[in-house]
Amino acid sequence: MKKILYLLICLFVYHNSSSQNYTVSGYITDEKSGETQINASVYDFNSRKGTVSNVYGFYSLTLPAGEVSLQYSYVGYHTQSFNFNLEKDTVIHIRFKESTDLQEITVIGHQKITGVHSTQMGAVEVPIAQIKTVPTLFGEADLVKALQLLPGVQAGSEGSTGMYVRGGGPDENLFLLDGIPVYNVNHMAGFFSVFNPDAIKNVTLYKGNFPARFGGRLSSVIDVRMNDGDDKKIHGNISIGAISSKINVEGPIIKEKTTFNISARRTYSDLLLQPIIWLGMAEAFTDEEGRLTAGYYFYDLNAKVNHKFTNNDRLYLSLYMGDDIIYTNFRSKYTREGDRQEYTESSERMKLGWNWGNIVSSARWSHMINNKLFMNTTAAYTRYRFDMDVGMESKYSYTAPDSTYKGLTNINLGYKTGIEDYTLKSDFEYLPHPDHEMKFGVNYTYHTFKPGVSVFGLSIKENNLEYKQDTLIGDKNIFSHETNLYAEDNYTINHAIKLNVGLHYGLFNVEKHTYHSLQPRVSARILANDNLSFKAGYAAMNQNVHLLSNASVSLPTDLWVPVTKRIKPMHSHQYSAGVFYNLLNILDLSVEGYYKTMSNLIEYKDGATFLGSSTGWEDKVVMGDGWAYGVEFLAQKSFGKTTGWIGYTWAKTERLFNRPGQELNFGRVFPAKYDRRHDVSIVISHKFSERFDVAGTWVYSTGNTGTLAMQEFIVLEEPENDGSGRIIRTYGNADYISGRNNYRFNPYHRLDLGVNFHKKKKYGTRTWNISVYNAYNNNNPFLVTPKEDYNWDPVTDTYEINKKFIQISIFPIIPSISYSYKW
Amino acid sequence: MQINKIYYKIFTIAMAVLLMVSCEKEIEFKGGEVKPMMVVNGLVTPDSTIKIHLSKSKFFLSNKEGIELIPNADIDIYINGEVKGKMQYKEFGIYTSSVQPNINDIVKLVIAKMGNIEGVQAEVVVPKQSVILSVDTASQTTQDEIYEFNGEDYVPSGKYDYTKALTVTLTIADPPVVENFYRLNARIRSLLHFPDTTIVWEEYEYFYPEGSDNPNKGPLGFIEDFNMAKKHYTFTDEFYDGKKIILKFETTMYSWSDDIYPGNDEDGGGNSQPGGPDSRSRQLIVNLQSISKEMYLYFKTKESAENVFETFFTEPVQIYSNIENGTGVLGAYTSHEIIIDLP
Repeated sequence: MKKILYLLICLFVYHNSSSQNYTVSGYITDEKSGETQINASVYDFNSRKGTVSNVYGFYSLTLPAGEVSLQYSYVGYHTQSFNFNLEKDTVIHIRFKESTDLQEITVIGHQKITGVHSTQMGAVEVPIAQIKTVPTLFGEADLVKALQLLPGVQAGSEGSTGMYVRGGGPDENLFLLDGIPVYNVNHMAGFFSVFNPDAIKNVTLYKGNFPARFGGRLSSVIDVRMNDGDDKKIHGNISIGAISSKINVEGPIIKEKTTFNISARRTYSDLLLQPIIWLGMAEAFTDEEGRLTAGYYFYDLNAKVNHKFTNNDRLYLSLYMGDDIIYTNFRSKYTREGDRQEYTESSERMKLGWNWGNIVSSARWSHMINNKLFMNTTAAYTRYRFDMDVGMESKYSYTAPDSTYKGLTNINLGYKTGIEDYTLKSDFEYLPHPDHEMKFGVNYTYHTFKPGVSVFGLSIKENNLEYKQDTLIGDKNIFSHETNLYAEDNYTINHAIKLNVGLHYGLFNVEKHTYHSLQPRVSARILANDNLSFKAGYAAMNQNVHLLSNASVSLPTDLWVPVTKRIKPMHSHQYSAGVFYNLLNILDLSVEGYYKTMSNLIEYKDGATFLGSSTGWEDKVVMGDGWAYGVEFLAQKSFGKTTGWIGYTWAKTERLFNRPGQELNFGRVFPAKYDRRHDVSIVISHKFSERFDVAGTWVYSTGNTGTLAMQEFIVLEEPENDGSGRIIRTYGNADYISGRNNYRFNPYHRLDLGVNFHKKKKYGTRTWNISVYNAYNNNNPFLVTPKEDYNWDPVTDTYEINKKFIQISIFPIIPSISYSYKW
Repeated sequence: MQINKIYYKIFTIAMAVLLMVSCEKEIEFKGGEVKPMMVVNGLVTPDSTIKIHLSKSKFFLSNKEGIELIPNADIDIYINGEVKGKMQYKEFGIYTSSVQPNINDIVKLVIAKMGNIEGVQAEVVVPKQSVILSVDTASQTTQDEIYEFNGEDYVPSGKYDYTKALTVTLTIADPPVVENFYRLNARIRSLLHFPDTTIVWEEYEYFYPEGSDNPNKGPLGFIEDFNMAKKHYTFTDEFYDGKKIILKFETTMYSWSDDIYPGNDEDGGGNSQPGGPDSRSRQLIVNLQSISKEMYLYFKTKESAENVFETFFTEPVQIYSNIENGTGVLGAYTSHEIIIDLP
């Protein structure tokens, strides 16, 4: 550790020995919309130095004085070149013009960040245009599902947005929206993610070799950036799909100064199903009056305002809010007049509301302190909450000549959980020399964990009697303070060797207990030639929060809890190495291997489940260790009419819970639930013309594991007595389970197809999209279970048992159609 | 128009096919039938000779009814490494022997392979006895007024239901350093004394152990919530190694009502009824077993497996076994029992 610190200090006290250097800096944007371009390449052919623009489109390149030959390039845009004599610090703002030859759709990842030349490995930049072409369930383009197609990333259950990256769990992924964490990225039990592709500009997935600026999760960082908005004219698009409709509008508020971008999405299954419910109700309530209103929908709203004060100062205001809502209102009334002047009247009302969702908001000030130092300061608020309310009112009255009875019962149930963060952070980029790209920063977060409060109210009135009860049960909010410091340097030693060295320090204080962590990160690249490089790296990661959930499906009741005195922070060490090759500038090939160890992982004890309450959660879990290793192969073609990638992963991930008193599987090693040996994904798009393109995806993976009782056996029962004091020992039957996750499901494979028909109209372009999910209707395993059928023999009057092994699948072939109009 | 009709037909057929697609199908179990194992169930104690139950496990998709027992097995008993004899088959899967173990003995059973079923072996150490140092009892009677419906409302009747409860406080001496495991049960013995005979019967008490000095919720913690009332309380000395363990539980002795037997308990109290016994008495029997770790893990995991609230999300519970190549348990216990005459 001392050596690493020494190395870092050496790097940070680096003295710029050259006094003849000048800096070229500026912003890189899209000419048409003014949208900043992330990771655009800037390269000087004379000095063979280069850099890329940051997430705000800013770049800075310090070069020796004299003749420079600068080239600015970005995939899908025309390259721009400048030759001039550099004799002073120079500002050049670039506005890229879109290329008609290399359509945006052809972009997969930028070589500069993730390819042969970069020190970064285990990262993929996925342009949003690519995500929109991947055919998906119900035709609903989804960011997370596109990421699941990359090597090293496993999907959870069928159709879900769960992500298992290099053997990690679904709570080990840090989703950042404009740099701010999103705690629950799921809609509709995880079948859709909260990211509306219309509002997103760029996505980068880091699954290893994490730069020091990231921390807080063990397995991956998904850095999502929202569109800033067009600074020249107002335009947008609208789309109507099988389950949702979306609208996106962007444009200038003050031309080339202030822009806005607003996107909204709402599903409408509730509106479509309501008439069917009423029709059903009409059948069910022939002699009574009843009315049921019920439904489910989710919505997302993304908004961003960007104001440019000067070329050096910009302000960004971002907001995301989204909710899932389930509602039921039921009213019924019953009246009856009897033969003997009896009169009965009853009415019931029931109301159920579930509501869960996120708010992520931030205000960001980007300031160019000088042409070598860029600062970004953010104040943010993020929140996830789950509210449930159930109300029931029942009235009853009976009137007869000799007696009357009146009753009124009111029951109210409520349950609330959530998490809330206030964050303040400053990030700096310092580019003193073309050989050093430094980043450092500090952030502080005040977390409020709301582990769950239940409210129960009951009031009963019966004639003159009255009973009332109000109960509040729950855990107190838990507050914690988190501070992180980081520094990293992307250091070019010479043309062939480049290093990225960083250190991340984290401090987490919860309930008078403080955890510290020092997380070194190192990666190196050796360039054999312009098309071939070798890379290796190491990253330590730490995680101070756990998600209490059910491993199989994401539910709104999933609850974030902090580490405690008893449940320690999770920690991982990941080592990786890879070979990167660019074939004739057509195909990017890479092979990466990794080995990851994880400690203080939590798993539920046998028989435990999380039912939405955090009470006593520490007693339900045990801590243990895990490891994962694998090899990932990726071949991707980013240019031309046919684009796409082939990914293959061989992986293994296991768990060992053998700490005294915390044994699982009786202290023996067992496979993780989503341990899959082979994983293949093929994603291909082909553009036949401006009017017609197709896309297809085929995935294959080894089946998930599950715990299955494969035998039945006799067990000792508790001793009984025979009534006279004599003990009789009896025997019963039980299921025999040989080990946790002892059964592997059938392999999973699926083909999705999509076709787009575009047509230019007077004011814009319309697109019809037809897609088919699971095109050859494979019954993919969701669950396997034994089942017993009883066949009755009428002759002998006996039942014959027929035991079967059943596989349950949830998504058959699902065609869908959507219409969109872009103007 | 013709084309539209064709499209309509294609669409209708496609939709019908789609709706007929079943999401549930029978699949073949991979790997074929799982080979049966020997299942040994036996608890040894210095109070009696060694006895076990031997059976075969059954493949979960087998349509055969019941579970097969194993007669005629070749079973050797070893005590502290020495062969002490073979077990004899009696009936219903039960094997007996004339070997009676002592405290601290290492009892080992070796069962030879039978046909396609692998031979098994298991070993257990008979634990030392832990003693109940004291049993204190205190009784208390509570009364609840009975409400009666007068046609409009429920009103107090002036009559009462009575409950006489007994609070029992036990003190146990826990040997230090070593890990100890316990099982506790309590029984109420009723004796009806007739002129020429006494009728005796016993009932297990289902109690809610409430360790006044016991922070231990049990290694399986919350799972016990589903089954709070138990005939046996199984626990460890994890939180009070070497100290005195104080356990408290409450049991209902009598309940009666002004409505049913005014002034008496539900069985007639101490007053003789015509044709009834001359007198009656009751005893509380408290039995503390020092159990082997194997027996503890077996009963704890079995209890959890039985009580788990099984849902799609629940991880099934594995039942512990110390039988090599097979399953079941060879456990051991040593009892200490105290009998107290109740008032």
